[in-house]
Formats: sequence, structure tokens, C-alpha cells
Amino acid sequence: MTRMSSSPLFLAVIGFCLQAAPANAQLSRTFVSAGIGNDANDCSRAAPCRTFQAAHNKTNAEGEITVLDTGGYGGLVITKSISIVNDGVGEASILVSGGGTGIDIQAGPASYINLRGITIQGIGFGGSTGLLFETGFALTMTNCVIRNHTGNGLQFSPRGDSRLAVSNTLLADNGAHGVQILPGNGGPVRAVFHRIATINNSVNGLLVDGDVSSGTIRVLVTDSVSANNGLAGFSAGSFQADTFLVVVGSQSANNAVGFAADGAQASVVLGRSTVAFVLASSGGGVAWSSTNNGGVGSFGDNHIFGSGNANLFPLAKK
Amino acid sequence: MGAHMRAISPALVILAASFGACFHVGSAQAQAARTFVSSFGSDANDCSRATPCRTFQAAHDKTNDQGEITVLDPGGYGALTITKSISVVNDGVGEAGMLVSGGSTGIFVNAGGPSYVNLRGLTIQGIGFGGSIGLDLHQASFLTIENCVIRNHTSTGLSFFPVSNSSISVLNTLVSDNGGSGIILQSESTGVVVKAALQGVEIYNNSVHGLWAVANSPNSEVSAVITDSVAANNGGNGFYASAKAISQPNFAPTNVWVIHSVSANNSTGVASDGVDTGFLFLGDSVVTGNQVSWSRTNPAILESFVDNYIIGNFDGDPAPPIHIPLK
Repeated sequence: MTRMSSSPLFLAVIGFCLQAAPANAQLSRTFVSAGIGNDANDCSRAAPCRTFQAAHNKTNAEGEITVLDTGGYGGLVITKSISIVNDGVGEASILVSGGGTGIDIQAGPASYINLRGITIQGIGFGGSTGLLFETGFALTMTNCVIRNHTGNGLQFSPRGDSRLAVSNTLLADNGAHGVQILPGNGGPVRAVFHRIATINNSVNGLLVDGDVSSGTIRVLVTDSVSANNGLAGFSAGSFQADTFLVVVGSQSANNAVGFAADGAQASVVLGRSTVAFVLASSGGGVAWSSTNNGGVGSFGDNHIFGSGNANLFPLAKK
Repeated sequence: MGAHMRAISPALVILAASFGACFHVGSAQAQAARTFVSSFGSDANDCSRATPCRTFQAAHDKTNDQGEITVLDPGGYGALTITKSISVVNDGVGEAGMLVSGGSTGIFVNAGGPSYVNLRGLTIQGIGFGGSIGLDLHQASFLTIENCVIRNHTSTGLSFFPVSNSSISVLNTLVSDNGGSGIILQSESTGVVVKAALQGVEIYNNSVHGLWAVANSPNSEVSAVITDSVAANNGGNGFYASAKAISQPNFAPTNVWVIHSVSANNSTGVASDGVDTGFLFLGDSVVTGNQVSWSRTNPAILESFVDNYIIGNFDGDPAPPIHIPLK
């Protein structure tokens, strides 16, 4: 679908290219360099572009942007299947302010987006959101850092049937949630978080919210840490969509609430995990919270300090 | 050569002589144990550190058996056919990629005899335009893949179809967004034994299965041990042991161990298929968000160590039928 929608542009570019300027031809692999890049270039290896947005616009759908050196590459709107890769050349970052969004994904419903090694940092000055996913089929993020935004770090709010996979990624120091999954009124949403850290966010570390969605929502967190957040480490809330958050092999540390479920359509279950926090005399917290008939379950193999306001539903390993 | 060099000024003699030396032995024939590739290299070079080659294939062809290709800087290095023991290494200099289209294969491994192939830090990306396969193993005694990314192919990401015995290791590697299965392990000839170990492998958003192991030939065997890995958001089964040899007269078992791993948000979490030939063992793993938690057909063997987190699937999370004890 993405291919189809982008092909008129592609053909137009080819046509233009035949007439005159090879500098406007699109490539399947483009390059960005903070050291020697220029957005007037064609983003080739020898003549890289300066910003992610220019490279994105000059890359074929399903192509790849390769980062060449350390630096800031500016915010971007992604409108097609693409991969942006910083494979260890130094920091490839995006500074965000003025109420903007670092990476805004508005791709076609069959688009696959891949981000590796990108840092998205808020710098105040009117505030920011780190990454906002609006449309597209799948987003895979590895080795990224999203921090210091006034809004959410990562907001996954697809309006259709969408998938998310995040690994080895830090979501820290944001003014709202580290991660907020808040699907629009579209299809089902599936998300997996593997070895992530949501730390020092002002509200929740990770929140799954099914209140405006009509599809089912399934979210898994493994081998991860949610710590020092203002509200809950791991939270699910839904009065509408069937919403299920599974946390295994992870820790929720020093949050106001270890894990929380709000609303009869929301469930949070814990296995092989740790929930702990400072003593009440030092600020304290509760291990878990159930409000409005939200479901909280445990496989009985967690290391949980303290207690909550409802019985944990006992779950058996199989 | 002398005729060409006769008129050259003394200042250029050294340079000319060095070219001459190359011509004498034949530059295309010279081989080194270590070769180098760079985005600014040229395939007319000898792939030395000072004069690197431009593509993996040129470097491969100029590298001794058991030698190593070192990546010098970020860039695209083109598709590669491997015909000998070799190591291709990008140890953190930036992306070392290859874009694949036109129905071709990113890396085709066809190394006969006793051969050890090692791939590190490579990105194999499909770009549509006629489609692609990420990597296709035809033969190699030993193949190790570490810190690689294989994504966006129209067909299979990692296709292990060896025609001779092969030991395969995949470590810390991402296999995602492929139109076929993420990983297929399949014995392609009678009696072939395929042994695979996977650790830290992330298999996401593939249209068919996450990992599919199948003993496909008489008297062959496929064994895959999977730990600390994730198969999620795939269109078919997360982890799948099947034995197509069901109609074969000779026993051809497929064994898949899924331990301390995750199967999430697939059509079916874990599956085994084949009368007494497909075996899947599940331990200390999470099975969640799948339409079906597990399936067992024909009827194959699916055994649980009874320490798995099977929850939040859309079939009521039934317990696997057969239990084996921890020791």
C-alpha cells in the first residue's frame, strides 16, 4: 500500500531526473552526516544530507538511512516504510522543543518502520513529545533513548491495526509517561517491550490505556525496569477495549504504585518480577492498586514488598 | 611491462614499479588472509588496509580460505556469495549494510567441505523491487551469526536449508518485518543433521512464522535450542517444530526447545506438527497475546516443564498436554 501511494512521487522524481538533475533522484540507501552533510545533496555516501527529514524525503519507500557520524539530525515526520540506522558511530540525536515531536510517524497502513540507535531529547523551551506513532503497521525500535520531554516519551496511538516492538531502550525523565499506549478507535494493538527501562518519569513508567479503542490490546514487558516514576511503574486502564498487560522478569522499583489496573476491561499480571520501594516514612508507596474493578494477577513467584488494596488473582504456571 | 614503463619519469618509478609487481602476479589472483572494505574503496584494489575494496564480494574473492574481511566505515557493501571458511566483521564502525531486491539473496552461503563461516555486525535489508531473501545457507559445516539485523525481505529472513550437516548459531540478532517467516531451519538432504543454537534473538512482525524448524528428508534431524529470545507479532506460529517427513518411511525428527523465551501476539504461540516426529519443549517462557496459545497436530509432541507463563491469549490459556519434570 505504501509502495502504491508513493509510486506516483517516485515516477515523478524519475521523470524529473531524466530531464535534468540526478541530485533529485531517490535512493534506497541514503546517508546523513553532521560533519559534512548538506540537505542540497542527494544523500549519497559521497554527498550525504544534513538532516533526517531531507534524507527521509530522498529515500525510496522500504529504504534505509545510514548515520555516518556523531551529531544532531533534527526532528522528522515519517510517512513510509523506512529504516533509520545508527550502528555505533556515536550519538545520533534529535533535540526537540517548542511543543514539537521528535519523530512523528504518519505512514500508510502497511508500512514497517525500524529505528536503531537514535536519541530523542527534549530541551524545554515550550516542551515536547519524544515519539508519536499515529499510523503505520509496525514499528521496531532498538538501542534508542527518549528522554527529558515535557510530554510523553513514547506515545503509541495508532488509528488502525498496529504492532510495536521495543528493545534495549531507555525512556527517562519525561514530564508525562515514559510510554503511553493509547490506541485510537481502530483495530487491535500488539506491543512487546524487551529490556527497556522507564525511569524518572513524572507520571507512569508505562501506561496502557484502552478507553478510546475498539480493538483488543495486548502488551508484554520482559526483562525490564520501571523505577522512580511519579505514579505507577506498570499500569493498565480501560473501561472499553479488552486490555491486557503482562509483566515478566522485570522490576518495578520506588514508584508510588508498583503496578495498577483501573477499569473492568483492564488487567495487569506479574510473574517472576520484583516490586519494591522505600519505607512509608521516606515517601513510601503501595505494591499494587486495583480501581474500578481492574484485574491484578500474580503467578505467585514474584518478590513483592508491601501489599495493595485488592486480592491478587492467583495464576498457575503451566 | 618494460615497454610501458620505459618513458616514465624517475619520480614515478616507485609507483609504477609497484603496479608492475601487481600485474606480474595478477592483481585479481593475489589473496590476503585479512582484507578490508570501505565505502571509498575500489574493487580494483587488493583489499589491503591502505587500498581497501568496495564490496564484500570482491573482498571475499581476494581473501584466503579461513581469512577475515574487516569493515572500515559505514556504508552499503552489496550482496555476497560465500564459498569458503571466512569471517566478515563489522565491529562497531557504523552500519555495514546490504540492500537486496530483484528476487535475490543478501548472503548466500555455499561453502563445501569443512567450513567455518562467521558473520558479525551486518545489516541485510530488503527494499522491495522484486523481493528478496535475507540469508540462505546452502552448505557450511558451521555458521555463526552475531549482532546482525535481517529485515524487510519479501521472503524468509534467515533461510537455513543445508544439504549437508550444519551447526548454526544465531546470537543477539534481530529478524523482523519479513514477508515470509523470520527463520526457517530445514534439512534438505537424506540423513542431514541440522543443529542450531539461538540466544538473544528477536523475531518481530514477520508475515508467516517466527521460527520454523522442519526435518524434511528421510533419516535427517533438525534440532533448535532457543533461549532468551522473543518471537512476537508474527502472522503465523511464534516457534514451530514440524516434521514434513510424516509420509516418509524413515524417522526424521524435529526438536525445538523454547526456554526462558517469549512468544507473544502471534497467531499461535508455539506449535508442533508430525506424528511422533515434531517435538517442542517449553520451559520458563511467556506465551501471551496469541490467538491460540499452542497447537499440536497429527499428533506431535508438545511438552511443558510446567513453569511457563501462559496468559492473556485468546483461547483461554489451556495447559499444554504433556509435562516433563525439572531436574
